[in-house]
Amino acid sequence: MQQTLQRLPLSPGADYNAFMARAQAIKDERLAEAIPKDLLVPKAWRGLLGFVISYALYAGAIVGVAYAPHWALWVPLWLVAGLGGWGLHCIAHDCGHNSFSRSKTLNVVIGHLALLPLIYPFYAWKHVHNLHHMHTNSLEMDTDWRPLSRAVYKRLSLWDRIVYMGTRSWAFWAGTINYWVVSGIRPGFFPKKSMRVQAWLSLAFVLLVLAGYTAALVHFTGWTGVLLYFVAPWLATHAWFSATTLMHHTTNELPFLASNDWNPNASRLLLTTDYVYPKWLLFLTHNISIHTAHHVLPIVPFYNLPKAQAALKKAYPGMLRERRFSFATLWRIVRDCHFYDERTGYYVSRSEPDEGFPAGHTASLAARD
Amino acid sequence: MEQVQSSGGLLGFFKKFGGEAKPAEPLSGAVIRDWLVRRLAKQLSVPASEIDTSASFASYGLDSLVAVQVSGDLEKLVEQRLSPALLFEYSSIDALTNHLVAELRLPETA
Repeated sequence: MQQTLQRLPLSPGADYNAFMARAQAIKDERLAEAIPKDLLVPKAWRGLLGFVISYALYAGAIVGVAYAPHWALWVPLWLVAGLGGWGLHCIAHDCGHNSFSRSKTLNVVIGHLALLPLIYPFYAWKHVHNLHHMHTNSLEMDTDWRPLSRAVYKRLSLWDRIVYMGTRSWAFWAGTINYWVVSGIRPGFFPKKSMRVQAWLSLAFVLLVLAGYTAALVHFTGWTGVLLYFVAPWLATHAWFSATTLMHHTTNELPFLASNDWNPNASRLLLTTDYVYPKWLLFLTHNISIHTAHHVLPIVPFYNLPKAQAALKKAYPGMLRERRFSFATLWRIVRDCHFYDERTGYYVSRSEPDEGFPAGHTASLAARD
Repeated sequence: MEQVQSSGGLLGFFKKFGGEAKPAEPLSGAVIRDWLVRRLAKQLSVPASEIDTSASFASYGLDSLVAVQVSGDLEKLVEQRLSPALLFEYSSIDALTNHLVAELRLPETA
């Protein structure tokens, strides 16, 4: 076991130093004050409208699969069902942050119902998502899409290497299935007993509904129906979930920060990439891609995020990172963003030559999650 | 974070699944040090009295997998997510305890 830790990154370049200068400049800012307080007020009817629209899209596309005149229509319909399921996740996301409604009961009820297409236990998702907010792009502590160095990767078991590299390349669409296995259906993941109890309760609810729904599907449509009307839309929902969350915080133009350099304000304002979607997609994903304002102030309801983002851009010009969404960008991420580079602090591709660094600081970061 | 209040009925059933809560004693440097001593003694199958809190974890032959397990178990005691690299950064029971006391603003003794 190594006893001394080196400061990471080992040899930061001009990009990293420029980033850290910006991170230091905003370190003590009260970022949330840039967002007008009236934008924090939830309108439950607007949230419920989003919930109904996304469930209708999910169910409508599945009915479409059942009545499709040709199997070639199944894949596009599954993707539409997945968009509905992903939109429902985005509604549950507001519930998890208590920005759906002022009523905690309504947040919990809608949150549980909205995560059913993903069979994701709401409380487990809520707690792990809060950990992501507390530790965004922290090399040691983030719970979502946290990269490993090549040295750590090499010490993983074969299965863990397949999962890690698969979900960062050809199987990126299944990345959130991995997180679901790690923290969604494993209440022991959470440090507080109250969190573990809640995660068990949500898990029991999900399993109960799943058992009933599967039995009904088998009865009326057979096991083929389970695959066509439940498993395939579940996979498609994860594909939306994975692609979106991967893109929010993964790029080789932004670093992951070790604890010596990480600070909360930088994690909120500087380490997210907002993707500009066409209006219809923004509507059906409930503004999830307007993400920096969400990290600065998670209590802002989704329908107020455009205004909150505009206020933030005005207060901190040039600080937010916005890009137009393209599949080419997604392709570049899965091609280039594989390992944490201990020299630079940025992502490096597996096709880059192996510098043969010892495991060092990140040696122990592999196993726990 | 909402707290689960009741312990009867269905909720009580699920509370059993929640596993061990932190000890009733308020968290302090002494509680953490004592927990680490017992955890290490259990790991090494030696009496707790044989554990030197100033000796490095490496001198006890702890490998990185055990270090990660210990930091995972320690999370349940302090009820916070901790860096799995913690036992690398603070390499003895004393160093780790002092770090947690400072970081979590705990008293040295309850």
